[in-house]
Amino acid sequence: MHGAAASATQVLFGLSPLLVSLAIFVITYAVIVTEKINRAIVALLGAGLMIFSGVLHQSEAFAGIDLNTIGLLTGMMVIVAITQKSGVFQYVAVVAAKAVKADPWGLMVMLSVVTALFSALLDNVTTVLLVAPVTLLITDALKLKPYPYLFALIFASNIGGSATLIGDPPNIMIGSATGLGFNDFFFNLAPLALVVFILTLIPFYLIWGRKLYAAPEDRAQVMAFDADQAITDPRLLKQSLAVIALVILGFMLAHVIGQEPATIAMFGAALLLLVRVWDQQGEDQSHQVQRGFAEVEWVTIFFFVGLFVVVAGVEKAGALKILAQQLLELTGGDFAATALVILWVSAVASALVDNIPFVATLIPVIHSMAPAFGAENINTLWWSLALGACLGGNGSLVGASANLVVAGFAERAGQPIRFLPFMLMAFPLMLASIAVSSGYLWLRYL
Amino acid sequence: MSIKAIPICPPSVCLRPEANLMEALKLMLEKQINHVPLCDEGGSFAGVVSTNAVLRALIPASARVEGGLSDLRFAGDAERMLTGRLHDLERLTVGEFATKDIPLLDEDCPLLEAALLLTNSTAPLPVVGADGKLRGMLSRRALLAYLAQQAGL
Repeated sequence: MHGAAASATQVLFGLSPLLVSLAIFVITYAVIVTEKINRAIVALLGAGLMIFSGVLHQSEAFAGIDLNTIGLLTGMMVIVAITQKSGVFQYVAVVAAKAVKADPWGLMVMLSVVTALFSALLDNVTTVLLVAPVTLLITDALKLKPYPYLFALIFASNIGGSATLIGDPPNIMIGSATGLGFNDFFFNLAPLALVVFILTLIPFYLIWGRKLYAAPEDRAQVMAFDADQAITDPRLLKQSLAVIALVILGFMLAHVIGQEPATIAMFGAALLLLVRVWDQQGEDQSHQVQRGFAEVEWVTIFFFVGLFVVVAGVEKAGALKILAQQLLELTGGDFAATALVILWVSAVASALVDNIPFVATLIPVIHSMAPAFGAENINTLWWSLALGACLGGNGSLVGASANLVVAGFAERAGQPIRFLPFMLMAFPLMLASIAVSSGYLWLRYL
Repeated sequence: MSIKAIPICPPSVCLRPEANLMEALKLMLEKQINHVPLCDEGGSFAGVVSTNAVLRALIPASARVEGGLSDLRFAGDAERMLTGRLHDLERLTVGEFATKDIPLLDEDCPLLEAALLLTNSTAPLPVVGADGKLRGMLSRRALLAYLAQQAGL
């Protein structure tokens, strides 16, 4: 190892590492926010500059990359990419629609429930990518405007994602950085997610639900949908559901078996690939494996890699410690105030910019607060960050990747979701969910 | 010897981009053709609309667009949906559903080159004069009929 040589690296032109790292950090984040250049490229360039300028040695940069997050994300992406080919998402959506006899309001509730559940167990982007087209097909058949349904889909996916360790990237990052497990997230966040989900349905009903109407003959058409026909590959369905069940069981037992989530997800991905190619030979086998890996969202993965290095740079230079101290001074070192400030600031920030860079920055900041509040209490701050970052994503169309995916699909299908009208409704609803979260944190932890 | 010698489908079978899809469908059904060229006011080539494009317009947007449903077996026959959407064709312009992304044949294109381009194309190809105006459409069948005649078959 040559890691020991790292601390001896010199910053370019003898400049202060703090200033250099801050400049790289600010410029990187500013360019990411403009969305003019692909965010993965920007993050990787920022990471490279941190190393070239001498703030970080390559080995320190590597150490800053949270491979647990990367491994968990990649593993789950492979599993989902293979599973989706079975048609299971369409199946569940059609069953849900028929269970409420294609009643417009019932349909909105059911599609939201399905989206929230899938988002809790799989990643949000994949969930909405698969539920949005079926939603559009059903609303099309019922001659209903798809907008309220797509709006509900976005909210359901972000709320559902906040409930578990693997539901949303911020939770994955927090879990990985703190060692908090699947059960910790589930027992601390899922009860609130359920409450927020139910409360969110009330405005949906008042604004849209009570006015929605579909003609009996159009509903009959949806009732004629045959869910079983949606399963395109029953063998694949059984294989992938078995592997997903195993992986989730693995997450729940992670502490007991002493394993990290990335290992479990990657092992699950390899297992699913194995059963897929079991009876295939040479070239067929490598094609199958290639397809499985090709559908990983590499842009997201490389974005994470670059971002972790950029944050490692400002962390090493001491900038994040200063930020933590200022945050503590702002709240006068009061624990409850700190928890609430983290919640609200995360929520507003996550509504306006990508929540992934925000969470990546705040994790070391909160870590450095541990001495001030004690290791026991610090978990509450993690829940503040997780709730703010996940639920905050509902505040605008750019708040979460899932929102952009829904908007992109809607646009292509000729039903564009406009930025401002969406935000005018979404932002107040998001603030309401954060108010509920504040009450929850106050009652349970503060 | 160029394709000039081949009698081609005349430019009189031609629609404006702002014509509606229903017109295109009726024309194609009546003339028993699968492709209709579009030309603008000046007679310049402006794309090709096909029976496939009409069929695409009948399919729900959720399956038509990129990233949409790749399998609609579960949605049943949906004959009512398909026939119902036929009436919507009057509200869609052919321009929206036309493609311009096909090779153009110039009037002086050699026979062999035209044969190659037609082999690689799924549709008849538009023939355009030096002035950019559409002369008509050259189909595989017209080319083969000409060759068969020349060979004395």
